[in-house]
Amino acid sequence: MKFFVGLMLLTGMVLFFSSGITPPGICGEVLRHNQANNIDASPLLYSECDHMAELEAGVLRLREEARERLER
Amino acid sequence: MSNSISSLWKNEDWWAVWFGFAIFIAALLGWVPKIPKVGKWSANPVDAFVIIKDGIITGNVLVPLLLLMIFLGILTAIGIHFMKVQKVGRYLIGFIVIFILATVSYWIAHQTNIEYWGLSYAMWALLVGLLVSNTIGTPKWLKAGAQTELFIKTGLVLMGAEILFKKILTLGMPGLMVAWIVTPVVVIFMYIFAIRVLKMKNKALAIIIAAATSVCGVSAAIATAAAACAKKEDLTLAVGMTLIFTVAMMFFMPLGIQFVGMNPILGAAWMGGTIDSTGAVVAAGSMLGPDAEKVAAVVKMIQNILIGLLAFCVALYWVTKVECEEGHKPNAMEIWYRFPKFVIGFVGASLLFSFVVVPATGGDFNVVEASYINPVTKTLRGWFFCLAFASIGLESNFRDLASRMEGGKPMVLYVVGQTFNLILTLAVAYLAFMVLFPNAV
Repeated sequence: MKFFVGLMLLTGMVLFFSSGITPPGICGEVLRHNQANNIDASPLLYSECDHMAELEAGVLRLREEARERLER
Repeated sequence: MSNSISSLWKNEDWWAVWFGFAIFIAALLGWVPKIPKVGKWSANPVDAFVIIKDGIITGNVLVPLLLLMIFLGILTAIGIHFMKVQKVGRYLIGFIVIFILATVSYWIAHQTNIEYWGLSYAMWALLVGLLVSNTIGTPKWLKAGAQTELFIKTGLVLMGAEILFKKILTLGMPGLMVAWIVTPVVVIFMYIFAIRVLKMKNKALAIIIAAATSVCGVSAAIATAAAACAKKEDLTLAVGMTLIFTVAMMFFMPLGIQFVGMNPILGAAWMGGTIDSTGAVVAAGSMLGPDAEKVAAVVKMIQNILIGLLAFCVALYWVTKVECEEGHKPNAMEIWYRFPKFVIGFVGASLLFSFVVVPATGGDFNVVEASYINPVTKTLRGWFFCLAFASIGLESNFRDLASRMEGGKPMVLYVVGQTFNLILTLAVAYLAFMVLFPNAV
């Protein structure tokens, strides 16, 4: 019995979080932003992030642009 | 002497090193095919197990997953056989069920809406395990497969390959200041606060929470828990807290930064230094704009690289101070004997990939990541961690977890430590990005 109650709770959690429902107002703003831009917020470590190489390259580019701005 | 030699095949620390380095060698020689993983899905749950190319289903991952289960089962069973911790047959039966639970956890975690929430496989694996252990109870035959320590330590050795030291210079001096000055200060502050002010008896739990708060949440918690020989329940508590607060910080920090009109780069560096997991940092950074997303992610990445050093320092401190009689100074042999060897494997893997493998491929990180890390070591590390979290859940029960709360002290430690982290990181980020190096990016 306990197991089935627990299983129902876990299933309920999965259904809720997978439904795409977002908290109302500003509480759900980041979540809606993630949905709109397809941002996976679950990686634990930097290497799990799919586009980490692009982000790193982007920072190097930003630093290069800043250096050029300074030289000018 | 014979004892220390036999530990090479009787100690799980050494087995984690052997497994990890055997996988590295096989990967570097090109002997390991791409490791299968459960795919992403949104509406149709079956999509997680099919391979889709250009909109057409070209195959499925069920057979590769079955082969992976057999491979991991046999590999780890070799260690189990030599360590004599369990009968191999009993271990394998338990392992198969735990692998299935880990697959279910990955399947839940890879649903796109769940990914948007930032709820990772670690949480689902824990919950699935806790569901079994706290309702019907984990049967003995299943417990036989729950070799948590072996899974965690092997995963950590494999994670060493992902910690590439040369990346710490990606953002130059300001990035280093935010990630490498604040972090050790916060770890030390939180540990002292826990022991001296809160008078927490459980020192291992204190250091796990300190590491999780200041470095990078779950990954740092796993590394320090293993280095400090913590109980599984301690790791469960720390991971639970960090997962909840990470989601809360991801939701509210970018809004607060926008509300006060803070410079986006400063805000990004602040979030990169304080929000625990990389995914949440990327999501929160993206709210402030594309440049902020990049800076936030890279600050977090630089901080991630501290994990190996932190695990090494914690292991050394535990061996020489915490697990030592007062007044007794252990000699070098004693330290070596008691030092968790998997930490050496972890740091060794990081050094090997940073200073041998990357330079050998022309110094291009992307080549190493695309050829060896992403298709092999990273995916296998994820599987070992997922197996570990499912095992931890199967071996934990809520009564034990409640007894480790010491009247809410771990929660107080997290809140005080995170507040200190937020203040100090903001101050240092301001100093680094606005005062000392205002033209850094």
